[in-house]
Amino acid sequence: MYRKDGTDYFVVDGHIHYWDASEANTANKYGEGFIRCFYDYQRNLSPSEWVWPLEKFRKYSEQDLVHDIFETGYADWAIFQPTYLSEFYTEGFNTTERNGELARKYPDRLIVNGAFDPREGEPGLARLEQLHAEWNLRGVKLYTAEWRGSSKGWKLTDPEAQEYLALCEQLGIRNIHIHKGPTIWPLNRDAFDVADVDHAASAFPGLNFIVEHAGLPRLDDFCWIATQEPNVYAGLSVVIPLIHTRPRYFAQVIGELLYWLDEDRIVFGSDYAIWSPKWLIEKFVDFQIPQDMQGEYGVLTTAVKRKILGLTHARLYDLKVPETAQLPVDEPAGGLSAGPNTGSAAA
Amino acid sequence: MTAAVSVAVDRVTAVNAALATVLDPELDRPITDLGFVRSVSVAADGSVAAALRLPTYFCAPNFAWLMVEDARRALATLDWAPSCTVVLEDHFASEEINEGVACGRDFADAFPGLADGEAMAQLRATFLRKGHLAAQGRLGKRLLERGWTLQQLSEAALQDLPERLTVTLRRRRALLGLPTGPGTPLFADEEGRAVPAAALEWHLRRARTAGVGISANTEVCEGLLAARYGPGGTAGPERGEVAP
Repeated sequence: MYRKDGTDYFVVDGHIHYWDASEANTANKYGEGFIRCFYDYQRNLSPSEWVWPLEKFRKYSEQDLVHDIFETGYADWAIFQPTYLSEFYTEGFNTTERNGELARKYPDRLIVNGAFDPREGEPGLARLEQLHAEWNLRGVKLYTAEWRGSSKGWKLTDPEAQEYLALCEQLGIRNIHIHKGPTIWPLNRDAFDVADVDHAASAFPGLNFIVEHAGLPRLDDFCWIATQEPNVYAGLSVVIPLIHTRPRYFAQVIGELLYWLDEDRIVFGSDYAIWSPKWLIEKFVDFQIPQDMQGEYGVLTTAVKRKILGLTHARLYDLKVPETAQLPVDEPAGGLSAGPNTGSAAA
Repeated sequence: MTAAVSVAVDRVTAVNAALATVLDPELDRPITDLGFVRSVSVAADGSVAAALRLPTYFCAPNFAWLMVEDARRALATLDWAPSCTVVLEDHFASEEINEGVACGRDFADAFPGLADGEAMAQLRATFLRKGHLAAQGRLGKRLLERGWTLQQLSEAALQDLPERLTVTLRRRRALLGLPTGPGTPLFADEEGRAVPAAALEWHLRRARTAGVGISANTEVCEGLLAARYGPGGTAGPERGEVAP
């Protein structure tokens, strides 16, 4: 819980990792390049006091995570989004199993998500059921641009994917997090393409589709789809750190998202350990759209910030919110320019 | 300055000018502005070499390929250069890209089994269209602030504005194969058709969002380049090494 000026903010960090990129676990130059690329993201957008030594960044401890996320990081809950990368790291980078061990130790703070790849066919379906039985999954993280054998990626619209999504619905795995961003294999298909989310969201209205990184650099395509599909969400990981060194750009992106999506479909994620939630949350709560941009984008109200930081995730993941952190029923939440989909906001 | 040095300096200038025509497709900006050209050199016999670098080791190889290929094509237009080489440094696919582009292969041949050919042209067009839309967004905002009405905007043609305001617009249209004549509409859809006044507000909304996406992404990339190569990373190419 974060408290500022008498307001309680229920915080759910929807995008964290517990990875091992130690030299011992790094299998090849790709693994080496991958972790250094992540490290540059940390060095690029963090305040200097939040930049770690590379050695710690490669492999941090359970104590580091608990300290950074919960003890100083204000999170009431945090959600692991696994990234396997088995070709780069001997024991995998950030697997459900590795994440799950921690989740099991802190069952009232940590949620572990699973993953699937529809190209695994029937055995993959069985594996998803098994994964669910073991971890009681409430969400999955998907990488549609991953190369596998002769396949150059997959789409949520592929026939095989329908079976997996149907199984998710049947098992109660309601939250489908999709990474739309750079791929690591030499593919020439457009890995940012968000068009498949559109169809899947229509076909599975009972599932929530959270597009991580809000589809940057295809923000316009993403917004367009999200306008039409009420079960599509924007994950703020990678976007929110802009708040420190590039606040005007952050204002623009959050302004666009609020215009097109409305305030109930934008969710916070730190992408820990790339960035730590403490400074992101403090800065976000203090943040306001710069005055000269308010004519275009309006202002960020406390209610909007409370939803983004945790209340929306609480709805998606059925988390109990203490009374002090709930929105008063009659509080007008809006404040931003009424977009095409902001019927509920008092603009 | 001796005549030989003067020629050499002119040649380096010409090399940089040629590279300035190469866009990062995703960021819609010249690679010279972005600091992606690490060095250029012109040998005594006029052979040209350029070294490119990118914000991350894992920058998408398809975009990397397009930049290296475009750079090589741009340098090939220098008729005094007997040969030109473009090398991408510090990238996970440097080897395949450098060799593939140098040998005139296409992307799919350079990555057998991992890529298919026609998608590259599509990818390029997708991002050019975004750049074209974003340019209209910037222009529309500027004109509305100066008191133009939507009706006036919808009726305006390229010739109604000073050329300097429509440089990007015309360049993107030329690359997309759309008409760029003086009488063509200022605000146009993907096919080059004029956007009617009633649809213009919507058109400019989407254009604004496209522009925000591109510029926010550019901020991230510029910062990554600086984190990787030092704060001077985006200050432009190093001075070319001039052969005596």
